[in-house]
Amino acid sequence: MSMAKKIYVVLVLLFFSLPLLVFDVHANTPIVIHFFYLESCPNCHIEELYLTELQSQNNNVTIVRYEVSDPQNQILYDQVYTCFNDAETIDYNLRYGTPFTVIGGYAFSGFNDQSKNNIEKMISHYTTQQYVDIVSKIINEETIEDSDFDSIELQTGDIVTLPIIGDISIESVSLGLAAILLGFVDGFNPCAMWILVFLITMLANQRDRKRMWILGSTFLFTSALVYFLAMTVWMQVAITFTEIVWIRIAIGVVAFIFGVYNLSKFVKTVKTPEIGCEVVDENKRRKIIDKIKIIISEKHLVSALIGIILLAISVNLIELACSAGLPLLFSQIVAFNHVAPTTSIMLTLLYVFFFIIDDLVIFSIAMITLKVTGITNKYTRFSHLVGGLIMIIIGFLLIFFPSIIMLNF
Amino acid sequence: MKIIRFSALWCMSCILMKSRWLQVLKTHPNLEVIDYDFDEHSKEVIKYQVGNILPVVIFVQNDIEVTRIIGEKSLKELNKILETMGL
Repeated sequence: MSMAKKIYVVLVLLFFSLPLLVFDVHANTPIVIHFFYLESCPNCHIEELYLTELQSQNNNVTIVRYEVSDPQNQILYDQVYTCFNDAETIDYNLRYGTPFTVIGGYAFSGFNDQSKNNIEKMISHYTTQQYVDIVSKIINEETIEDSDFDSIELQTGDIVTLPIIGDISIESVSLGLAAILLGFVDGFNPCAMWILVFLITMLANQRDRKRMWILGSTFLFTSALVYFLAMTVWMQVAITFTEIVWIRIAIGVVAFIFGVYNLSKFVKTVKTPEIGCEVVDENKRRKIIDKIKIIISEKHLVSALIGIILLAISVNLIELACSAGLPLLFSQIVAFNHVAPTTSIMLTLLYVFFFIIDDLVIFSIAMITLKVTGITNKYTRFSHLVGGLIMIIIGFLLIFFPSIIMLNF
Repeated sequence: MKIIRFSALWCMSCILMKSRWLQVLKTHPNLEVIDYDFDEHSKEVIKYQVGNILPVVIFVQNDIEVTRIIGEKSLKELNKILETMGL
């Protein structure tokens, strides 16, 4: 090999080994945890105890401590905090203060049970993979690349800390979001909305605010209760039969059919250029209208109250069939996730709350202004689209990929 | 020119349009308005062949229907329709 060739080979080797030099740490090399703390901070003491124990259990872990009342450490802390806070690729949701911990390309502020999980995850991650120590790079005044930052993917069993609510498991968050989304979409279902509108219009015409409050809120509360009870009963059934494969598949098929039906409704409404109230099932509507008129004209409040409760129960049981798809599917999802009974009740309440939120808005405005506010029917057609798509997707997952319904993402 | 409006107490689009028409009528005081309730005035519903979408507003001149507006329309659209009719 000529000298020129030797130099060329050395240069090529050097070039390809450059990323492994200085800041890139090889597998099984020491993992440095940078711990920014204050002597006066109680939470820092809790983390300090944990880190000391962690270090004694892991030979490859080194803790570097920075007491930030020291001016030099304070400057470094500001640099590190700014660096992570300004990261464009990842939002670390950092709070300025102590304790503040950095492992390689990952940082978090505060300390709780989830922080322990995160530290252990990063240690096991960096033990097998190369990583960049961002604090060392900052100390050495090196440029930080976007690729230097790391994040943690949440998994089943993980706990996230939410404002006001506090620590909550990731499954509950996923199910909670599902409750909000499905409940809200279901709320735009026009099946029962017209009854509330008619009722409060009639009540508003009486211009008796107290009576309006009592009868209107009783109707809403009873409607929500009927929905809640129906969902809870279904959930119990679903929990009992959740392990039986053919029942799961049957529910998936029904959800799929409901979804297609909703989509066909959407296509039908799109073809109709006029947006307005569709007159359907005239006889049924007339019967309900007559009932409401009798209740409203009832002079005794108690009799009117009993009438309104009976009306709410009957119409909501009938109308449940109209929008059964989403609440039953949601109950099924909760059943699949084997959550605690109290959690399933909370989730159902959350669903029902978001289901009646549009009714609550109309009722509240009517109560304040004594006028019924119309909401455009423009969005009703989209409730068919969104609801239909959700049902098709969930139905498909129930049949072919039930594990995804466990919301383990 | 008179306008015949069909609406229903249970219909949110009707309530929404009622407030828009209120604004339109302020600038068109010459329009004579006749209101019918879809559930109360079955005879008129049949007579004017009101379909299955509410609200319906029918413009009538010398007992002859000039045009009709079905469903929700924005204030801008309402004014444009009136403008094209020379109102």
